[in-house]
Amino acid sequence: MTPIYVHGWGAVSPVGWGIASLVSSLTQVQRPALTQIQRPDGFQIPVHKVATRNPRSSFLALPRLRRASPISHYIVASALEAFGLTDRPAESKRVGVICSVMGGSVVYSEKFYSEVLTEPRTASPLLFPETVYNAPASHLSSILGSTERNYTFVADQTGFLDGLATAATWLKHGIVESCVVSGGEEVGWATAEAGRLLSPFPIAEGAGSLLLSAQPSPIRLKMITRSHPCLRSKSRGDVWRDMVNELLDAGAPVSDWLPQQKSGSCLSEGSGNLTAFLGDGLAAGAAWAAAAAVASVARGMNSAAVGVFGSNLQAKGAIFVRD
Amino acid sequence: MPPNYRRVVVTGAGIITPLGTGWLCNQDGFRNGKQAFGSVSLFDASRQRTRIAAEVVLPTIPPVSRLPIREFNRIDRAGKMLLWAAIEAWQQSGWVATEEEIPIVLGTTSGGMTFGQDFYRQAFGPGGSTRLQSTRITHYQPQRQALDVMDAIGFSGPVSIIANACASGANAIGHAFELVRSGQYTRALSGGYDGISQLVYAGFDSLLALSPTGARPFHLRRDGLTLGEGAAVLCLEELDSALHRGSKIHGEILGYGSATDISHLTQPHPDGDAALATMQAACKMARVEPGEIGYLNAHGTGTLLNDSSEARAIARWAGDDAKNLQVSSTKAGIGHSLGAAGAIEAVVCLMALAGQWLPPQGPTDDVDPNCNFPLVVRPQAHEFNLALSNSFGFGGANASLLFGKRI
Repeated sequence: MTPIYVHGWGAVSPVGWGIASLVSSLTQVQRPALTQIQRPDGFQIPVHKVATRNPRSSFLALPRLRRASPISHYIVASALEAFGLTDRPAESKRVGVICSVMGGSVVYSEKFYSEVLTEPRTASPLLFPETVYNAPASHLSSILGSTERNYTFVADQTGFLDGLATAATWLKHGIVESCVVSGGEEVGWATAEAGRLLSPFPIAEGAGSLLLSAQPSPIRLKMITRSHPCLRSKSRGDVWRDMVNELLDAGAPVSDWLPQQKSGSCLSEGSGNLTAFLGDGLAAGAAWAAAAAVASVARGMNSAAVGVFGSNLQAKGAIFVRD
Repeated sequence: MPPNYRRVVVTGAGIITPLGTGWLCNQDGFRNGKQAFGSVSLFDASRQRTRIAAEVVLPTIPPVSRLPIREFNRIDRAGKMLLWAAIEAWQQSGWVATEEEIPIVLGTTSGGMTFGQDFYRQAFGPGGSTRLQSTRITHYQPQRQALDVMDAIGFSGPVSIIANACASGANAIGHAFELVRSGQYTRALSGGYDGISQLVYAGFDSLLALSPTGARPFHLRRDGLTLGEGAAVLCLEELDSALHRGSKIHGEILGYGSATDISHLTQPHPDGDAALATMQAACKMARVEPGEIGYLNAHGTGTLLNDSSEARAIARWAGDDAKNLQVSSTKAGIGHSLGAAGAIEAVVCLMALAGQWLPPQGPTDDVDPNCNFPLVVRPQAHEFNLALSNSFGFGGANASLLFGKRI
């Protein structure tokens, strides 16, 4: 088996832009403040938003991102951080791109559909392309200057780990030389309302990214569990327990995770339940958990496991180790 | 081909398009170049610039499945199309549900969008009633529709939904192909689906991408695409497994290429650089030359930019062999079904290979001068062994699949 290594990691979360703010917030137990988002009828819904970056990142001035929605900004920022960059690379990167989303580009979708219902003939052609699920991934490939393979997965919170598994396969088979895997979301009133109805946590936005390669580095992706799907024929408790047992069998010290977690939970060894802390970041949640786990290994832990209990698709986990 | 790669064959295929439900009626429609364009009936299109689409007529009775009728009735139009195609594919393959994990890999651009629209309109209304909203959220998500397929048929395995715009269906089949080819799984169920929704229709209309007269791919005076809808699902299986079962084999997947056009979010590179890369990659994987390809099912949307870019890419890729390459776009008959298109066109290629005929795209009297290949414009028999299918999408998602005649 070709070993797969982590070469970089990044995050944008309700506690700030950059992995350092996420780690600092987790270690100092500084929870992000709730803000209110307004439904069209004026009803207020508490959510965790990402604060505007000040000063604005220079990459936001790039033509591809000037009209892009927040999810694209978050994904690109976290991916560039994983590359150790603050702006687009000077040279093209031959890198595969995998993004996972659950809600996707909801802010522009809300705006565009509102215009359609009002007067479809004048609905903005600038908004519609940004509503497409793969717009953020497309922007990221463009910013990186990479024409390599690019996938967008739509899933529940576990999609980011599916992305890691796919990236590992691409790397093992030499399809790409390196691969950046991102999970991202943005909050609009529709997702906030959906979260209010279905999630035990406030909805949150942001993104996280890992840069993977088969070239050795100090942190290795040891394993990703198989998918444990949520079917009508199996209780959710059994789904979660089976996934945790697979992590335990692979050597992860995660016995304190065994109690059934709530749907949508993204857990990282050393950081606990990030969803309870940061809110339900949907696809971004697992990316934050993975980035936090990798950061823990980088700070000296020998290994760190991630467990994600998706809200309707599956449970899935991964283990990162120091080599 | 390295010895550790498995050969992957198609042992089942299900399809539902505006031409009808099931393999037989679609085979008849594609072979004869039937066209299924009509007025939009699914929503009020009176305030749109264009009012043409290719809509699916769903069967009035549900397919035979393990899904309780109450659950089936909760599924939206796109999900129902997916179920029809998946169940037909499963039945054709002769697969039996066991403890074996079978991955399901689907492509879509909008999943259960009609539920999303209903959710939005109700939340936008006075009082923000929450009645039925939780159900709409759940069934809006594409992963729920994939799980519905598993529940309806009675199998289990990992779910992957690839949303690579109009290349989604081809990318999904390519991804599933690689799962089986690499030996990770013996079988995989894969395809694409999308239903026409008001939001997406208005989106393409806002971009002036819809034809007011009906799509005419590769025509010199083409004026846009026609939106369609549908679903197609393939049962992919290791060759040895299929032979061991004595299964009927529709054809073999021989190659897959995927690349990204980074020139613009919605417009292809004028010379089709990424399209060229995907066609080359699919052929390289299969170790075949362009001159060996007997038929190319083009992406061919009917938009000005796509067709000229794709025609240039084909000319660059095939070189002198282009003059003998039979090309058509079946979107001339059923419109552009977005996330379903790549999967539907995969089934068309398999049908054509099996029957040794070419799917015509109808009369195209004045062809774009960038086309240096013959367009298939009328029904015809044709002896060939290899068919290539192109799918290109927003965001520069490009994919090509190469199919071989059944063994």
